[in-house]
Amino acid sequence: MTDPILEGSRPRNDATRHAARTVLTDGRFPSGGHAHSAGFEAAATLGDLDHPDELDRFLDGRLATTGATDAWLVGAITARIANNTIDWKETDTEVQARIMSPALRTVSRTLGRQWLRAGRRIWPDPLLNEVGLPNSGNPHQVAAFAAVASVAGLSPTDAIAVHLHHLVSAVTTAAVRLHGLDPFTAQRHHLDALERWHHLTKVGAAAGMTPWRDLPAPSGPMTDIAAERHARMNGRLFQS
Amino acid sequence: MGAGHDHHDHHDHPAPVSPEGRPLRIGIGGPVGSGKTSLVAALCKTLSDELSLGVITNDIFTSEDAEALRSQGVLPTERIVAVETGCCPHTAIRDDISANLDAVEQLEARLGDVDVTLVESGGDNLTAIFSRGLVDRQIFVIDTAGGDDIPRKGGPGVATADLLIINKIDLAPHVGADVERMQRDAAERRTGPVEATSVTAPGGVAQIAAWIRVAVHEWHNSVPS
Ligand SMILES: Nc1nc2c(ncn2[C@@H]2O[C@H](COP(=O)(O)OP(=O)(O)OP(=O)(O)O)[C@@H](O)[C@H]2O)c(=O)[nH]1
Ligand SMILES: [Mg+2]
Repeated sequence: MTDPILEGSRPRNDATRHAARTVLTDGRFPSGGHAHSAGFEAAATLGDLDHPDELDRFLDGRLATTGATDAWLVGAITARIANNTIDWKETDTEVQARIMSPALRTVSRTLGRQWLRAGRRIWPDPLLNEVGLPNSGNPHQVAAFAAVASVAGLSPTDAIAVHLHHLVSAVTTAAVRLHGLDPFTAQRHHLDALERWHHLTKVGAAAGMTPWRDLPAPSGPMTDIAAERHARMNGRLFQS
Repeated sequence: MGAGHDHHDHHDHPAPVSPEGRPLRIGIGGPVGSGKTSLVAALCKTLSDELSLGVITNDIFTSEDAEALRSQGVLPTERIVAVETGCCPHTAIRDDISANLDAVEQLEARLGDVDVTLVESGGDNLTAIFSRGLVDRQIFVIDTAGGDDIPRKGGPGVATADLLIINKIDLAPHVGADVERMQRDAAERRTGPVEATSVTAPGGVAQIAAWIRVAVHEWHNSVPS
């Protein structure tokens, strides 16, 4: 089934896999995420997110929409990579169709390039040369991330868990930096959110080889509207 | 350059090849307001006739410094790109260089002819140095008005930058700063060159521009390992 050359170049034992998962989970992983708030700054300037309950509600909103959509996408992409049936052009089209805001499409491709650059330096693997091809080196973030996670040896479930962790982390870190939220409290919100939405890792991984058109893509219009306004906002501190 | 050039005598004269075949990247760091953007502006004015320059600014607020440079008209606007750093300027130049590296590579690829890319860090603290993965040389800018004990305090910026600039010497008498003492203290902390100047004064960056010319020459004539 799997290509022996690709298979051979990827870590396949528990030690390397565990090490890779730890490194990819670390907020210090250099993929440029630190300059993004996953919509928190946008929402905080349009509405009022000062209250801790609001932070939980915001996290629930992000996870129920972008989080769930990304979980299915990462699940579908990692399954196709493992199955050796990945078509990067098709993947690019499917991901793009699930991001409505032009500003967020740009952000996604910027982060995609950054993930790919980091991934290629750390886990040189022929697969990472192909991800960006359909869009001249500008893959979407989920595609690049799923590819990097795959060559690093992560399972689809782990890849989704790491991706959701970074989504939540971007929000809670922004709350600490913008609102002075107590960092211990931030960790509690982070933990609780990942627990509440843990099922997404299983649901996403179950996407497997489900045809693209059958994968749900929940979204909320306010996220896209806020992102567009944020992209035009003067004096913002985060890129998104 | 490129398709049109007919330079076939590379057996006699090895073509100048920089390591990794790319422009020299110079980081400009230092505390808030020490004069980094003023230095970049003055360098662009001084060097843009002889070198092809690209500039990346790192801003706390959106693209303030990039706008300041664009409005001064020191370079064509397409040669200046702003990177937003999400409240953490030192992270963006040291711990997670991805956004800056991406901007640098995109700018260099788009312009195609760059000799030097200047990367201005957002104003930060004395420990903020550039990663060697992002820049090849770095300049650290402090100023007399920020307190003349800064060189004594040291820190990685003062100690390890390839060139240390003590800026705003014109203000020294007004703020009670002892420039000679700053130079002495700096010399104790480091082995590299120290330049005391006012970058906004006429000719204030002549020595710095000369240092850059040498660095560019060395870079583009070094033999890749
Ligand atoms: N008197 C005097 N003022 C200077 C000199 N160099 C810069 N300034 C002034 O110092 C202020 C800050 O200069 P910038 O060049 O914006 O400093 P910066 O380091 O880029 O600031 P940030 O990017 O905000 O950290 C401006 O008002 C400049 O005009 C100088 O040599 N002498
Ligand atoms: Mg500046």
